Amino acid sequence: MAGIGHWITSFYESTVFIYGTVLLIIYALLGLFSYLAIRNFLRKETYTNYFDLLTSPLSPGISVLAPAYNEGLSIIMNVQSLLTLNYPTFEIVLINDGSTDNSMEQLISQFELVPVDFAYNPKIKTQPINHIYKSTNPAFGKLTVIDKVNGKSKADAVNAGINIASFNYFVCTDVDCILDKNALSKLIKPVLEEQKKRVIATGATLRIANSCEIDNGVIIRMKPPRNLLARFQEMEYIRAFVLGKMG
Amino acid sequence: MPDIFTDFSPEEPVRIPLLDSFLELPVIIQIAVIFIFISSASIIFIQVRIWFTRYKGHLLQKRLAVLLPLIDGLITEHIILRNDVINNTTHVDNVELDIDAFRLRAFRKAKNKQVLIDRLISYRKGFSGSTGALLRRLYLELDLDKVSFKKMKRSQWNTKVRGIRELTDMDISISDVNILPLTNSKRNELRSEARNAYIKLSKNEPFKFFDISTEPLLKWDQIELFKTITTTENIALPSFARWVTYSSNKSIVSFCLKLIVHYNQIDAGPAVVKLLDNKDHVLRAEAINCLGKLKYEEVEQQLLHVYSNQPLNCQLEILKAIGRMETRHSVQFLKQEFLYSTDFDIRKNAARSLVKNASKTLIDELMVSSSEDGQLILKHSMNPLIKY
Repeated sequence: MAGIGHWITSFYESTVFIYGTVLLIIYALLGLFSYLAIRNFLRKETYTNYFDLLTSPLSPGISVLAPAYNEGLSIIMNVQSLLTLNYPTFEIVLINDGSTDNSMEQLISQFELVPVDFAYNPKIKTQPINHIYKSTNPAFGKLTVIDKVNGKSKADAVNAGINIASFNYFVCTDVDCILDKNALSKLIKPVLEEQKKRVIATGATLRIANSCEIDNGVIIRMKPPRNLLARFQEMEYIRAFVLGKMG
Repeated sequence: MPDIFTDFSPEEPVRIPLLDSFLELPVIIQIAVIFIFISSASIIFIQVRIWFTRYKGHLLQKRLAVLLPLIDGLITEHIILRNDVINNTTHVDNVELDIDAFRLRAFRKAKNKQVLIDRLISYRKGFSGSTGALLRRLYLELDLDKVSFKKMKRSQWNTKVRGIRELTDMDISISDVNILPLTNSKRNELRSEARNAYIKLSKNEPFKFFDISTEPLLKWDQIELFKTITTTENIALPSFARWVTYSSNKSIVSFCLKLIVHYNQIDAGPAVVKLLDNKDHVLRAEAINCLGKLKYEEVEQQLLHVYSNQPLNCQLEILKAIGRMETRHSVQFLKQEFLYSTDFDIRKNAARSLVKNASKTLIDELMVSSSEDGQLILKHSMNPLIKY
């Protein structure tokens, strides 16, 4: 009996040891690769002029898909923030995924929306769309709002957005996310500078907006969250995006 | 003579107590100790590195705090606020420039010289005319162009790019022998910078590298080049049809099609029409797009003729091109595609072109006779709130 106990203990210890060692090695390698990738990226960035992209008629169009469910508290500010993105050709497709609050009413009144007869090809099956709205105010011409039946998942809302998106490239975000002003230029760049392979998706770093200084939907100053738990989450984001993805 | 090997015996190795006790530990503990040691060393190294980088940044800021006001003061006094330059009374080449005022001890160090170069470039970007020309003269008379040329000769791609960019920003000619090989460099960033520089600086044949380019022109490069071409003053614009006809580099042909549209080079029409026989359907679609935007009506019948043999992307471009030409000759064809095609995109594009070309009576008639889907597509196409 003591022999089995000893065997279990040593098996457990060696398993934990091997697991820990492998994990450490992987993280060390990830750290190294990430360092090299970031150094290379920063060196390239020094010579990148995003302004050329912003003023070029050759820039490809991008659809920004933003699903929203009961975001009444901040929806107006967040849509305004999305509309201020720096990019020459883009549209914001906001998908109201069957919100039960007054999100839709707020959107209609704030952005002067009217229902339109919008023809689209439902390539992906989703919950039915009630109405598609466009703004009568040219200032919000880039905005399209889909009002659909709740699909119980973000994917269903995004799929509805993909079905009506006008451009070949789309960005999936949340309506409560604040995108950096130049996010679209930075996201499309890897697609435009690939010569042999075809880049079909790119990602970006995510930060926590808690404690940041925000003015009218635009982040003025980045700050780490004051809440300890949120700080841990921020650390996890940095690990995932800077270490994991770059590595 | 003392024998230094007296105490040495090959059978008895030198003993290091710490190592001995380490070697006596179980293997697992040994591995763990090595890991702890490497991890601790790495953390210390990274922390020191971070401190060092921050310290370097701090030193740079301190240096800039001294140098920038000094440079700004000199430039303001000797270049910007000169009455003869402001009033244009003297030609820039004849202006007496107090070069010695800029030959300060502080600028002998390479790092400080770089600050001076960067500042001059920054001013040059902000000033055109005589002031800009005088800033360029100052850059040349201080032999700063030699510093930039030296960078261009270095082996690291990023230093080369920096050198080329400095010369381009200061409008200094680079000989073809030096710049042309770089337009075909394997390093994308260098290649792109060299191409931009060549277009900006070459006075006679700014597009010569199109002839020798074997590397593809990436979409990003095209955007940068497009900007350079369309914003460079007094550029000698050629007929881009030349490369559409002869270039074997597809990306160059594709880029030239965009330039033909931008400069509305209608004369290039026949050369673009020849691309309709090209095997590459993407290039064919781009050619059709170009013809549509040029409103090259002569090709309309040919487009209708080849329509049925084309893949979807080319068919869509043909429908758009017919819409753009607005000749109203192909309304029947568009109506047929709108009513009978099974592809949604074809119906939508046919409807959009119909709205541009057909009479109101026909649209009303179609609204009545077409299916529910067709009516929706027509309403979509006619709605001014929907752009795409």
